[in-house]
Amino acid sequence: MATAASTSVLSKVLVNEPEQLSIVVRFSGNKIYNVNISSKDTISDLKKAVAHIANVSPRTLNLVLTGQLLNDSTLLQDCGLGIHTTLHAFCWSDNLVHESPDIPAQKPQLFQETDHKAPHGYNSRDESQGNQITRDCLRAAEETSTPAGESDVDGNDFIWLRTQREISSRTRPPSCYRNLNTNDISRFFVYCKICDCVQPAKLRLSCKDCGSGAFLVDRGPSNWRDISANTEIIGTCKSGSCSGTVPRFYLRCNEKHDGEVEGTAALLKHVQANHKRVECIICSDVMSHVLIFPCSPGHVICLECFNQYGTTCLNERRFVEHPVHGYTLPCPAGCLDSHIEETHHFLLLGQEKYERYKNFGAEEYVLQNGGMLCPGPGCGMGLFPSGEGRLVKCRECRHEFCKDCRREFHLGGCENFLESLSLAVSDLRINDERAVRATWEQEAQSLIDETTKSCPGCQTKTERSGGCMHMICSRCQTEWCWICVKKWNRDCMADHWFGT
Amino acid sequence: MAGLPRRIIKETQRLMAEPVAGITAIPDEQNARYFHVVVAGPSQSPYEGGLFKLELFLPEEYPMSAPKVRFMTKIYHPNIDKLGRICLDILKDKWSPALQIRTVLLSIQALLSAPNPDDPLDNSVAEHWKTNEKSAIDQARQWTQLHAKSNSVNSH
Repeated sequence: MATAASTSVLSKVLVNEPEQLSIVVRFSGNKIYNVNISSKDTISDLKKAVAHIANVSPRTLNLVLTGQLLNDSTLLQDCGLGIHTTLHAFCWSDNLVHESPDIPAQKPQLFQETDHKAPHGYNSRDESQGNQITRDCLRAAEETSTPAGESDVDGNDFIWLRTQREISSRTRPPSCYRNLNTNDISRFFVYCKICDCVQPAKLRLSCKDCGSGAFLVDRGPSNWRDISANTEIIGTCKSGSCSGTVPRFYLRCNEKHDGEVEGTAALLKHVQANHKRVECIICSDVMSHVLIFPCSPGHVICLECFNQYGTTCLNERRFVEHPVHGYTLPCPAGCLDSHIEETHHFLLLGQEKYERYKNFGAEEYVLQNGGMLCPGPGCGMGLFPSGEGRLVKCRECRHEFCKDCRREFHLGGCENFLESLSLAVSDLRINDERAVRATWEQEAQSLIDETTKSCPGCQTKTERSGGCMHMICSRCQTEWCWICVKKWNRDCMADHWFGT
Repeated sequence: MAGLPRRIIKETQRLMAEPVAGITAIPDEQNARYFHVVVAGPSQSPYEGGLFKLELFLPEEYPMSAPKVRFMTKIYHPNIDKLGRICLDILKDKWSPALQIRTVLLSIQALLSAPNPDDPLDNSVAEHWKTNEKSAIDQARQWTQLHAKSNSVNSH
């Protein structure tokens, strides 16, 4: 059963090698050409086709995919193109071509000509290699770069990659571009909000200024930060007169979505294909796709168990507030400082629970920072009451309540107020509209009073659903006794730990 | 009954194939989630020479929630009450789905080696332990002789 569920999530993995490709080429940013061509043809053939339609010389034409120039001799089938991949085309200026008419316009040394460094062999790959940026690119680059430089940026980056070095150094292709078949090992995974499931994804980039994909980068990404909004990678925009130098990386679901908007595919950096066939730490099954925690052992949890683990922790409010990663889950093996580092992973719990997760996270933030939640019916607004008084007025629902007992605001001590609640209704002056509301609230309040007790630490109404009398508040962590409604102590342990 | 999760099957197989020293855990013939457990009293503890029967039950939510464990054999220990209930954090709020039956039983064995009267379940036993440790240990040893000798386990 477990296998079936996880497989269905990822059943749409794109592993196609179509004979006939329909390639979309965006020329100079605004013209779009559709070219039907065989996957056995080369980039050179494609250029000729595009040049013919665009009425330019094929020698001046360049094709770009994910920030890289495509080599003439590369077979289209080796470019890792999906059915709907868009390539970007631009022409060198005429004088550059005229100066060297006998030399093919496109040369591997391009970056040297423009005085840009090309580390990690990003553009000096050999001609037979393809052009897809994969996780392997990050891995390969990580291994060739100095570890010190890496940790300077972010010590936590690529910890998961380190756990894989042993196998990757044996099986990894010599260059990141050797990995031509975009098999699962090297895939990025996203939570696609349109498909509403985990999907393999393609890394793409565009110019941050004009949004054009005709953008050449100086080097390939080598860590997660490189593909984040804070990327340090620079390059050159080749679109018309744009002088942009900063790329913006994004991921796109492998499925075709009409009118797809950037941002609908959220990177799941902890999710990857289980090519090492490691058992899930929870169900001990070997599943095809897993989530790897960033601890040094790299604890593995399958996606279905992650869902269960997350759901359980959500229900029991056992997520933790991390100073960097926010409201998140720790490694189930209890490893220190090993947490889910990107909150989009909690989309794996499903939309409804993700919404709950976000609410809980916001509530946790309010409570941890000295705030309180409005007890008004259906409200729960986070409030940071100022001043010394007991009166708190919710700015959302206008409910007025007492800061100490969280009941509606009252004059006099909280205990006196509780007694007054039991007074006969006839003793009160009644406004009709208000009476209806008060009765309803009173009824609900009575039910809550019957079934819950308030945590002596934070007054949170608490329901006990079994177990012993030793309560631990899931909000403020106060340990208290269900019978005495006081801080847990040795007398409670001795006399009525289990209610006996 | 719904099929037994593979994790439980694997844990059971491993418990049988590579038993933990001093511990046996055998699944019930009728209910694979219920285990008959026997823990040998650790050497150099007042429970040495005793064999302690426990019951262990894996609830439906296992491994998301902790196994339920209880001593069946009477034992004089500050962290175990007269009904056999055990005060152990990993059985409550410190439970993690990465823990296993094996780790739980090892923790219980360790608790026998190192009673903790500062976090007691039975206050009178704990008090005894703190005020006169030698006398408490003697009592624990007597109870072991009385209730946990191998023949009394076998006669169950």
